[in-house]
Amino acid sequence: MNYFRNGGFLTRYLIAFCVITTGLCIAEGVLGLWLQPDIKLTFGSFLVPPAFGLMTSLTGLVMESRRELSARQMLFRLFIQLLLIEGMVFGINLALGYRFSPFLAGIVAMEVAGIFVFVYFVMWLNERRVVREFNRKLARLQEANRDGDAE
Amino acid sequence: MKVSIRQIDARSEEQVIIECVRVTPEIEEIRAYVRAKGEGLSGIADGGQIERIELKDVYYFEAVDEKCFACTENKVYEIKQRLYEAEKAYKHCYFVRCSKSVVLNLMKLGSISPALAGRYTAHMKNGENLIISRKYAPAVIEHVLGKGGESK
Repeated sequence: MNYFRNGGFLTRYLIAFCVITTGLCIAEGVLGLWLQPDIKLTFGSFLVPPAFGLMTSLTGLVMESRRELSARQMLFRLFIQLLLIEGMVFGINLALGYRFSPFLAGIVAMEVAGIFVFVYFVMWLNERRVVREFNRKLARLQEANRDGDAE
Repeated sequence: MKVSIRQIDARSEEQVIIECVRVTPEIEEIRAYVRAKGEGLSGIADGGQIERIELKDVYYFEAVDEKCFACTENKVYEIKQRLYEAEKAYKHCYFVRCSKSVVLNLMKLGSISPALAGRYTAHMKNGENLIISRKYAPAVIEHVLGKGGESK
């Protein structure tokens, strides 16, 4: 089984990982410069976005199911996934002894939700690209089949 | 390759004979094509009468409560086969599994569009919409785009 094929399991997770990591780098840079411009970070901080990217993209496993999910069940699981990510972000920060002010907590929660929506948007763009190619080739395939019928 | 046609009187005696040195994939393709043409199945219509359905008229097969139905443009027939049997038997006629309970005919598919989180909506030519589930989406896409995105 080719997990990397169009719409395949690993393709989805790789896209999610890359988009989350990129989104976190940008969000941390922008929000950090805006809210806490005096803080200097170590080289270790470079590892934070990919680590969070890996952990949060793995929460996508809540969308996997042996049963076929209805649209409502999918939406519910998306909500659960977002809650899991928020919980993970705040939980890890809390465990490391970092306490957010209510204002900062709100900003971080919104940032996480923004990246979450952005990931699904990028995945939707990728699916749209695949769909466009699919529809083009489907029309060609049907045309070829019609030609075969006509001969 | 030489092609010859000999006219006969009885329709029941119609046949295609392929004479070849080796059964290559191309020969298999011709065999599948010939088999697909005029292929049909029997189905029980709404009124209970048994009717002959041309395979090319079937939009999709659907399994509901242990029963399997063949759906044409505006009629539904109950068929004796199970869904997996229909899927296997008509694979060569562009029938492909799109969800746990549906096998659709790619020749009757108008287009697809992305739905939520890895699922797709199949817009059939008769206006019906079917769901292509996450599990079967890669196989459906691969059927048309081919492995590695190459067209068939």
